[in-house]
Amino acid sequence: MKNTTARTIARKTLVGGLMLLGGLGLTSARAEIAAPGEYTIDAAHSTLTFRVSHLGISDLLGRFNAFEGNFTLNPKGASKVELTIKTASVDTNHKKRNEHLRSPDFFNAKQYPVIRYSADQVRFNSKGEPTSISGDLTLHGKTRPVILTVQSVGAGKDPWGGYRAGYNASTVIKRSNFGMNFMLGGIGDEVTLNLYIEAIKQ
Amino acid sequence: MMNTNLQLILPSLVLPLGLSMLWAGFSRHYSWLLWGQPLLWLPAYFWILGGEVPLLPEEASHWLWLLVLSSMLLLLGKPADSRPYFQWPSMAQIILLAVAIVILSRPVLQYELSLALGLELLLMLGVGAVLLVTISVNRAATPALTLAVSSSGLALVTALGGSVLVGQLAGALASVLGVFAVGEIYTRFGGRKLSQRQLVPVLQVYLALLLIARVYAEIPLPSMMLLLAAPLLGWLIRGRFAVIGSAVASIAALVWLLTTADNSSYY
Repeated sequence: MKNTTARTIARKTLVGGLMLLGGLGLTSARAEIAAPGEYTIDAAHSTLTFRVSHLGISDLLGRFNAFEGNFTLNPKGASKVELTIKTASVDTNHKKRNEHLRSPDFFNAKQYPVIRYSADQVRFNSKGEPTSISGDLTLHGKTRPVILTVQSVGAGKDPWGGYRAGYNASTVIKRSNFGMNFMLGGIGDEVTLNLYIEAIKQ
Repeated sequence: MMNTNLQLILPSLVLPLGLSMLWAGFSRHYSWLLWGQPLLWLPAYFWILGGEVPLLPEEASHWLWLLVLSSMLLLLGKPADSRPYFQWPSMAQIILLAVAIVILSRPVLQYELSLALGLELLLMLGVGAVLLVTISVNRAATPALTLAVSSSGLALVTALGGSVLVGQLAGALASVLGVFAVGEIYTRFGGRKLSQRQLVPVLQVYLALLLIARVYAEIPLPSMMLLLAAPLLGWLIRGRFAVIGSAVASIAALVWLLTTADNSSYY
């Protein structure tokens, strides 16, 4: 019994130590500017959220739980961004509301199963960090130009030998521009999209 | 900005019912009633869709105005009343229904084709075909009331269980029929009844809305089947009170939804 407890403590200490070392390793790499190259979004460490006004008295937050994407960043060459979101994965922490959001009143998820963002124009600052992305957002069957404002968070080697980069991006769209007009009186027209992305270099 | 309740009630109840009453009151010629009545649903339809006239349909509901007009054009042939089964007018309407089912469900069929969905669509076509044949040979006692009750059931089930927008479209359909439904209850109220032919385009829209409610707004399968049975019961059961069959089926569809689905409010 004592041996088992001791082994458990030793294992936890080892795992904790490795995590701490990994964390320290990443911490030391945070200030790095992401290396140019092709990245795949790590959905497990990324989050896509949206915010919309409810009756003009509060803001409602939602998220999409299923998405995938990749991007190529190259300050001196061609860059591109591809992001695909499964519409049916919309989640506002309320089952009934999620069903309603999937219906023809809003996203019409059966008719339009995916939301796509595709861009090939990325602006960089003097340090080589991306600052904005200009692309086309296809939502609810309509494609409109959308510019994402980008903030670099960090980059560096992870504890498993890979290389990761993190970005926050945001934009504001009008849902009516995408033909999503239901209940414009009660539910805001302007929707703020926030993307918290961690990606692994290929 | 218009009050939310008015936004729901005006196009789905007040406008279609008002137009229907005006039309019934002022149109003295039979052909005016015949050709005008199914079209009265369209102003409410365009309003509910946000003022758009979807000339190039994108979503399933955008096809409905074309369905109404196509069904009315097919009625230009010889009268369907009192014809034997499977004569051309009925066959043409059945073919139109089959085409409508394929077009309306095509986006889902492209990426989510399953045996269950295929069977549901075939069931809808089968029952729809029976309805379209029955409507042309069988003199139902209260045809407008039957469809109005069924459409009201569809409106409630869809609005509470899936999509308010699709529910509004079904509500407007019930409202367009409302004045004739009242006329069927109180025969002294003008004594006017919708002919079977007038109901064919309205029935096509009812079936299309039921399909949209099931495929896109995901109302429960038992509710869909009960709403499919509702007009059939009203037509097949003989006698003045046949509409009770439609009412029972519609209420059962609603009860099923309310007792099985998550009905927590969040508005």
